[in-house]
Amino acid sequence: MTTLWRMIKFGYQNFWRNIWLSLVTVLIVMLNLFLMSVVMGVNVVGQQTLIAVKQKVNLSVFFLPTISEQRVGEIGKELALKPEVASVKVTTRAENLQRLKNDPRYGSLVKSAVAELGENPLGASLEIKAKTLDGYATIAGYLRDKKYADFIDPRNGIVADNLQANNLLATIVHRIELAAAWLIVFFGLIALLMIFNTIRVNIYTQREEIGIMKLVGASDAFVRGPFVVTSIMYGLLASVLTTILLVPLLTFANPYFNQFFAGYSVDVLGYFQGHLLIILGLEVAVGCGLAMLSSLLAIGRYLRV
Amino acid sequence: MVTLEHVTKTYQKKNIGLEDVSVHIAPGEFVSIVGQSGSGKTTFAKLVIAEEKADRGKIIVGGWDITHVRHHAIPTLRRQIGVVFQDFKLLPKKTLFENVAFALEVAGQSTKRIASVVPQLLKIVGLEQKMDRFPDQISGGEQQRVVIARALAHRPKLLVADEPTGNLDSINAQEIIALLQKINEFGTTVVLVTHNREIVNMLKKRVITLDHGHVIADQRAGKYLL
Ligand SMILES: Nc1ncnc2c1ncn2[C@@H]1O[C@H](COP(=O)(O)OP(=O)(O)OP(=O)(O)O)[C@@H](O)[C@H]1O
Ligand SMILES: [Mg+2]
Repeated sequence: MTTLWRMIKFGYQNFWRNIWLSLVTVLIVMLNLFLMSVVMGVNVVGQQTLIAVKQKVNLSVFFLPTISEQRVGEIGKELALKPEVASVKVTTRAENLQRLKNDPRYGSLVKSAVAELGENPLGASLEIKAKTLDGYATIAGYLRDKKYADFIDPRNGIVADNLQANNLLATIVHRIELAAAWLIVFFGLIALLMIFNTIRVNIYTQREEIGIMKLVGASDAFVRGPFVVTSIMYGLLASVLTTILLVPLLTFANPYFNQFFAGYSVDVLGYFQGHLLIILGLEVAVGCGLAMLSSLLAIGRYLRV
Repeated sequence: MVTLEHVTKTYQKKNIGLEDVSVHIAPGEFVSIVGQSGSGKTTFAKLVIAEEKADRGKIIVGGWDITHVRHHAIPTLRRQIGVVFQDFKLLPKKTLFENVAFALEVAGQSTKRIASVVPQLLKIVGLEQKMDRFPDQISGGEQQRVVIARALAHRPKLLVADEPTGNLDSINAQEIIALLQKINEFGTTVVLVTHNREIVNMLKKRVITLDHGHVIADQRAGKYLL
């Protein structure tokens, strides 16, 4: 216990003895952690957007006006039993008409057309959500089956809303993911090298103490421990400061995010605040992990005991 | 206390440190190791504290065969040997108290014990009044006495001193030797590496003379030969 405490004390002294070097190290590690967080953030936003857009993907099936709503409801129930289908919602003829009337682009046109015809020219429709994106093609396949095909409006009876946009986004998000992984490795390496070099300098400045420690019978762990402590101080400080720095930055940037993601349920600041502890934990884990690794490397390389 | 049997130590590029050296030092002895520069005196000292390893032969310290001592066992060995080396001076940013305490701290001694032992150690070397000073606030002779106090921190059975009087004038050197004699009288075996003819002749203790890595003389109550 005393030993551990003294190692922490010596590590702390190392930190202060090379205070400028320590500050520069913490700053650079901070910068890299920050960049890693930004990359991670872009990644998370991408995923969230993808989820948000996925929720807007569905298959709309418009039936002929001659098909009764009851029949459409039955078909809906049949489809709901298919393994690919997540949910099915029936929209009545009247609802479809109302929706079209409310559309500012067609509203007046539709109203006059209905007045002329004297009846609702629209059929009922089904809104189908698949469990996975691949499911939509399969479901569309069921609908093209003779069993249903005759009931469905042959011109544009099956419409996959947002499916293409979603596929494009999925590709982009996937690429971002890949780039993010490389960038994170890259920034991590820079942080690693920075701490490595600082510990190397620390070892060099302490070589007299190290020599004396060994001569008076300090154990290897005791000679090495303080340097690990010092580097963990770097990692800890850098990660906590980075997290603290992220709060005002995100608060500042949040209105822009909201503008960008208007209409989608993507809330960057909310996500950050909701996951603050996890994010802090992650930063600390990454910061301290890198610090441990680099100090162990430096010790192994430069502190031959 | 220290036994070397046919010990050979060769450095890189065939630099001979010691060659086929056999020496036995009994507990409680006071032995001076003398010889010209490069004759292997420091090599002898380093082998005894396992700072270097022998290429051939056998080394026993305090009944412990350290010829092939495991790396992790070295601290245990070092805590049984007091070491005074030329290049291990005091830490300039620590007080005398802290310098001596350092040896106990790194070995995991409790703070309470350190607080009681360090003043005793400084008292042995006559510096308990100055324990809050920094090394640059005392004389070279006093600094060397603090180094000896530090070497005594673990109450070693064996003290190895490599040229402890190297940079001192003869009066200060005499004081250091007197201190080593006092330590020896309390039962600690002392191995003193020195160049100083005056001291060796005055001591009238055992003298081992090295030359080119060989023992060329081993006298009971010897004189400086070369
Ligand atoms: N680390 C080393 N690498 C190579 N050769 C060495 C090393 N240390 C010592 N030697 C050589 O070993 C021989 C003995 O050296 P040692 O240091 O034991 O001599 P010494 O008697 O202590 O000399 P001095 O009185 O100058 O201190 C010398 O020839 C020296 O050059
Ligand atoms: Mg020497």
